[in-house]
Formats: sequence, C-alpha cells, structure tokens
Amino acid sequence: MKDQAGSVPPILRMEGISKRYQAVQALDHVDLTVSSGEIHALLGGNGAGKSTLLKILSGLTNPDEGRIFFEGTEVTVEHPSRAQQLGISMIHQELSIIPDLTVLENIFLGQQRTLTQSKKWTPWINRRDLAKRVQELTQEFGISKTELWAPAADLGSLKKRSIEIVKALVAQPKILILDEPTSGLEEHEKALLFEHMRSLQRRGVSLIWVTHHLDEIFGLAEKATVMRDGKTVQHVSLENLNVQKLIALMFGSEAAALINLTEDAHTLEVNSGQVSKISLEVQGLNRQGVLKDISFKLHEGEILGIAGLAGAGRSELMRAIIGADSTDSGTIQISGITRTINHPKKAYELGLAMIPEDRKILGILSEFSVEQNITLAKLKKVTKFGLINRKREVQISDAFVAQLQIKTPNLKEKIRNLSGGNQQKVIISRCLNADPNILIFDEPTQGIDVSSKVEVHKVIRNLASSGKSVVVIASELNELIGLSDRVLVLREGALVGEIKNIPAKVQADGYETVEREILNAASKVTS
Amino acid sequence: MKNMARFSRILSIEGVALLGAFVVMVTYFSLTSDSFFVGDSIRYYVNEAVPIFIITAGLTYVIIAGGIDLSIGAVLGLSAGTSLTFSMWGWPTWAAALVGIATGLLFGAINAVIITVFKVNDFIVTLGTLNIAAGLLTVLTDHKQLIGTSDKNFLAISETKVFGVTTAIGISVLVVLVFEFSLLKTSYGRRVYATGIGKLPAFISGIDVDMVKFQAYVISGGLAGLGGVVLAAHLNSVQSGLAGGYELTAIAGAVLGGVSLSGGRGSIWRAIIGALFLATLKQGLQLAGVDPLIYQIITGLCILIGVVLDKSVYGFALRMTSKNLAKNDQVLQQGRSA
Repeated sequence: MKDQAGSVPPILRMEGISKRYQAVQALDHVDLTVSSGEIHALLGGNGAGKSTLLKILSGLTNPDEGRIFFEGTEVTVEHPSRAQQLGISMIHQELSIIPDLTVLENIFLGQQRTLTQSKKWTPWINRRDLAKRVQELTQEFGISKTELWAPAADLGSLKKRSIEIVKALVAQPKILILDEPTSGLEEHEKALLFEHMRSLQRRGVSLIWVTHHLDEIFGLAEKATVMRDGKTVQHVSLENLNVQKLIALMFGSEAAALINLTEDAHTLEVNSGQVSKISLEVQGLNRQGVLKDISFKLHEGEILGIAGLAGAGRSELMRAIIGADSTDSGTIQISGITRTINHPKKAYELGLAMIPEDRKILGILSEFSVEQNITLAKLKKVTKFGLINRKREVQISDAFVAQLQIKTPNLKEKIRNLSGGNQQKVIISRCLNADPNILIFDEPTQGIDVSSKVEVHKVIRNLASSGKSVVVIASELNELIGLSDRVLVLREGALVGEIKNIPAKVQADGYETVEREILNAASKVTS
Repeated sequence: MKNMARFSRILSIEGVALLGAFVVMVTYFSLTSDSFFVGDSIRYYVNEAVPIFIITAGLTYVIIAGGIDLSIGAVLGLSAGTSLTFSMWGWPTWAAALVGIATGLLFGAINAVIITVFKVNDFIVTLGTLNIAAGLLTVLTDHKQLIGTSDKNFLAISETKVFGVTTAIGISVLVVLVFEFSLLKTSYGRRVYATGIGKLPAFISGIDVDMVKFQAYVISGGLAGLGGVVLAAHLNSVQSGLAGGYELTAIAGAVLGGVSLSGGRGSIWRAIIGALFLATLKQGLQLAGVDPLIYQIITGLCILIGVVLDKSVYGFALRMTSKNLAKNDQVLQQGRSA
C-alpha cells in the first residue's frame, strides 16, 4: 500500500460499500480505487462479492452504505442510465449481442443518448450517419465496413466480443468494466483482445478487469484489488507478485486450518492397495462445445472431487451422467453394465442421485412441504395401488428429519420457509430416500452457514464409509481438498488432471502444495 | 408468535376471500329477489353450468401442471356435435357417448403431443386446436342446427332425475370428486403439483415432467369430450359456435378459486367454487333485471377484485410466516452460540 502517487488522481473511489441480500452480507465495507488510464484487476473466488460491487458501480443495484467518488466529486449511481451518463460502461461475461440485429444495430442498441447526438436532428434513425460515426472505431477492432450491415449472428466469437467493446466505447466511457472478457476466446484471439485493451488504456480509459485466469493479468494490469467473503482483502501492486501469492490472498491461509477435518476422514481401501470395486465408469463422454472426451472411474466408498473454474464443465458433466443433458457420444457403465441414461428418472432407477447446485432454482420445490420434498424422488415407496400412504410418508420423513437433524417446526412446513442449510438437508434426504449407490453433490454447501456445512460434510463422509460412491463438486478448494480422496480437474470441458491420495498428499506435502497443483491444472499455469 | 403463525397459515388457505364474497352475494340476492333462493331456480342455473364445471376440473389439472388449455370450449362444442350426430344416425347410446368422449381425447392427445414432444408454446398450440375444433363443428353442422335425436336414452344421460337432481349435475359432482381425489391422494396428483411448482427441480428429482403434462392435456381433452356429451344430451340440439368462450369462463372461475396460473397451486373444488360463483352472479343479476351488458362488466370487476384480493392475502401470509421463521432462526443461532 505504498503507492498513492500524487501525480495521477483516482478517477474512481468507492469507499466503505456495503450490501446485504436478506441473510447474506454480500459486501462488507469494500473499497476500490482506480486511477485514470489504469488497468485494474478485480480478483476473488466465487461469492467474494465482485459482481455485486460491479452491479453497484453500473447502477444495476444500490448499496446499503458507502460512498462513490467519480473524478473527485461524490456521486450516486441509482440507475444504469446514470452510469452511462457518468461514463461507466460494462462488458458482460455473457455476450449481450442480439443475433438477428445487424452489427450496427447492436452497437447502438440502448444508446439513446448517443443516437440523439447526431449533427442534424431527424425524426428517424439515420443508419448511414451512424455507420460513418463508428467506422473508424470498428475498423480498429477488426470489423470491416461491410460487416457493419451483416447480422451479428454471422460473426465469430472474437468479433462479437469486439462488437461489445465498440458498443461500450461509442458511449465514450471513462471507465470500462470487463467481466471475464476472454471466456469463449481462442488463444490467438485472447492476444488480440489484450492488444485492444492496451490501446484503450492509451486513450486514457480506465479498465476494471474481472477474471479467474490469474496468469492473464500479469504484464497487463498494474494494480489489483483482492476480495474475499465480501471484504476487501488487499490493494496490491502486481509488479512484485506472482500467481501463488495472489492465490494465497484470494483464498486465505486459514484454508489450512479447515484441512484438519481430513484427520477424521475415512481411509479408502484403494490407498491400502486393496482394490475396491468400480461403481461407475464413464468413457469418452462428448457434448459439442461443452464436454470433450471425458473418461473416468469411480470406486465404491470413494469421495471423488471435481475441480475447475467456473464454466469448466463440472456441473455439465454430472448433468450429462444423470441424463439431464443429452450427450453426443460416450458410454456409462454402472457396476460393470453399460447403461443408457436419458432422463434423471432412469438415473434414479439405476441408483444414481444428484443434489443439484443452485438450491433455490434446481433443488427445492418451494410450495411443497418438507415431507413432500423428501418423498418426491421415490414416490413408489409411499404409494400403494397408486394412492399415497400418508402414514408411511410421515414415518419416512420423520426418520430423515431425526437422522439429519433438520430443523423444521413440523413436517407440513413449506420448505421455502426453512433456512438454507435445512433446505439442503431436506434435498439430501430426498436423494437418500431413493437408496442410491452413487451420489453426486454439486456445490453442497453453497450459501449455508458454517454449522450446517460441517453437518453436510459429515453426511458425505458417512455415506462413503458405508460403501457408497460420492462425487463432490465444490468451488471452494479447501472444502474440496478436505473432503476428497481423489480430485479430477476439468478445464474448458476437458479432463486435464488427476490428483490421487489427497489425504496422504496433504499430510506429506502440505495443503498449499495440493491446492497449487489443482489451481495450476485448472487455470493452465506452468510452474 | 405461535398464534401469529397459525393465523397467517389460516389466511393462506386460498379461496377464503372468495367464500366470503360468495356468502355475501347469495344473501344479497336472496333478500332482494323472491325468485333467487328457490329450489327450482338454483337447480336450473346449476344445471346450465354443468359443462363448465366439467371442463373446469380438467383445466385445473393442466393449470396446476403449469400449462394452459384454451381449446376446451371449442372441443366441448365439437364433441357435442359428434355425439349428437352419431345418435341421430341411430347408433346406440353408449356408442354415441363414446364417440363424443373420444373426440375430446383425440384433441387432448393432439395438444399433448405438440406441446410435450415438439415443445411448442401451450398457449399457441391450444389456440390453434381451438380454431380447428370450432371450424370442424361448423363443417359438421353445415351452418344449420342439428336438432333432435330419437334416442330417448341419449337424452337421459343428462336429464334423468334422481332425488330431484338431474344426472348432469350428478356426473359433474362425480367428476369433481374423482379428479380431486386423484389430484390430492395419488402419486400422479403429487407429480402434477411438482411439475407445476418447479419443472426443473422436479425433473432433476426424476419426475418425467413431459409425461405428466401429456397426461394432463389428455385428461383435459377427455373431460371436454364428456362435457360435450352432457351438453348435447341436455340441449338435444347443436349449432356452430356452441360452447364458444366456455374456456374463458372456466379459466376465470379457476383463477377466482385461487388456482395460480403460474402452476403448482390450487385445487379442483376451489376452482369449481369459482365457476359456481360466476354462474350464481350471472343468475342473480339476470333475475334482478340487470342489462346483460352491465353484468358482463360486473363479472369482469369481480374477477379482477377476486384475484387481487387473493394475491394480497397470500402475500401477506407469506411475509408473516417468513418473518416468524427469521425470528426462529435467530433464536436458534443465539442458543447455539451461547
């Protein structure tokens, strides 16, 4: 924190920004300072609060607390149009290009202000005039004159990204926010994009750059703000830092403390030389643009962790296995028999169950009661001649509520009224009720409190010790390393690494080494 | 705190507002009109509304499963046409009735296939089949009125009186009982609710949501067919445009009864109460000598007020329960940390 060079005044200063979403403190007094003409990296794990901070800056949501200074004067950004007026533009991670409109129309979409800046006012939109105005800019970003009139759908992903950039630039921003700008781009396209970013910097535009690809920022960004759990961890100058140090800042050294959990982890028979049976074998699983030739085996009594950055295809892989998404090729064997699973219903019949990510959207049936949620995946168990046997339903649900210590006023309570941790336990009960041999947990502790987290971990370990096979997807590496016997690493839809004997390795080499190994594979850093 | 939670739970029973309004309305009409609260009068207008009750039951299935079926009115009309035609051709009673029901089932199946297999928007699909069914009825009747089957048994389907009540009313009561029972007590009913509450979580939980919807549309079509047979037997005449707009009355009734158009919420008996409410309102206004144009406006207002009331009462109940739960959670956490 040495440099606060007096020569260049900060164009943007956000001070003590706080934002609360119901029970979650998304931001807790966060600061961000960006100088004029600077490329500033904004870093942090999933859920660190980056996107909330940027939403506040671009007027999509308002902070509960805190002040924003723009070019030295305090401002409020209560609406996206206000951000546009100030000169703050954002390029979103998901492309917001409308394929059926022409490139030109896309560029001027939603830019009422610039549209009316035409020399002579006309009641209609003069497309030719608009084209003239952006020609120079588009050419610089590799879009030819004729391409301006083509439907945006005809252009490749780099050019679509360029449209987004040009679109952001015609508003003549002073600050440009880039959220994962390299996603979906090939290597050489990335290099071109970085070139564009430099040229923007030369024009005096400040860039705020959000990325998970830490190796990309070196040599391009000068400063970085690291966030964790809704707080600013540190403002750093990137000159004397490396990827490893950044990771330590992002995920914290107390990660090691949580690793103590591995002490009571079960020991897998595979480790001790005795080979346990294979419960699931996936061979050559492909899905156009999502999964690339994935093969792996899962053993009985094993906890297999799946690591990877956002968008690496972790959930997609599991959804393909349980038949929620279609696949182009590949075989799945369960206990040695090749099976076709084209619907989650089939997966349940074959003893596969998945606790999905994003509990509110994919997990709970909000209007159903606790008991109705628990019995849903295997209604057969509570049905006789097509009729639901209420006694049996209560019996089964009662047993799960006791076993997993689900805190609910009664079984008839609607699940949406329960806390996140208890909702998750109900969904786990739903899967367990179907008596599966293979359980897939996708982000099982997302957004639940610490004590529930520990309980969910206990459930996962107990399942494995009782001989079930468990797959865990978790973005928090300390959780993944703490739970798993073995970790598979995915990157861009392909299996790029496997780390065996995690508990032994953590003891021998230390937690940090394992974490680094996973992150290196996941983000393609050669150390 | 506990009392508050119970209070809000009672309020959250949808349709409470409607029942209240119903009682007020009946009382008012009884006091102002001598001929309103009379056995014959009630039997008459309820009998008239029987086809609507029957399709409301099927429609409720579809809506709870998260869909919509606009074709039921036209399909009902066409089914009335086909069954009466076959009866007039001298087919036995049971065969003519079966043809009517089969017509409905066929249209239900067409809707189901296009919506669940080809994944086309349900609103558009059923709007399309509505027009096809209405058009076919015009072709069938050839712009004339089909009048009079000589088969007395066919007419008896609706008109036989048992303990002073027509079989038509008996059939609608039976339909409501059977389908309400299957909705609330069977695993199929459970899957219907699950599909409507959340297609995605239900799918991930291994429920064949497409199959559930498929069956719901077939049920809806089949009941429209049954409604058509009952109507044909009641009127003993069918003409082009018959039963047009019944689907809108059924939708209005269901919504008034607290069936949520976004799916997953409601029940058949409440939908029927909604439909009965509309029928009663119409009868009362008619007896009071109100201009038919005015009672259309009043009906519209009632639907709007009913829906808004239901929504705000429900929202209030929701807020109360979640507030209480937040409190409970805090208490729990304090207990844990202490």
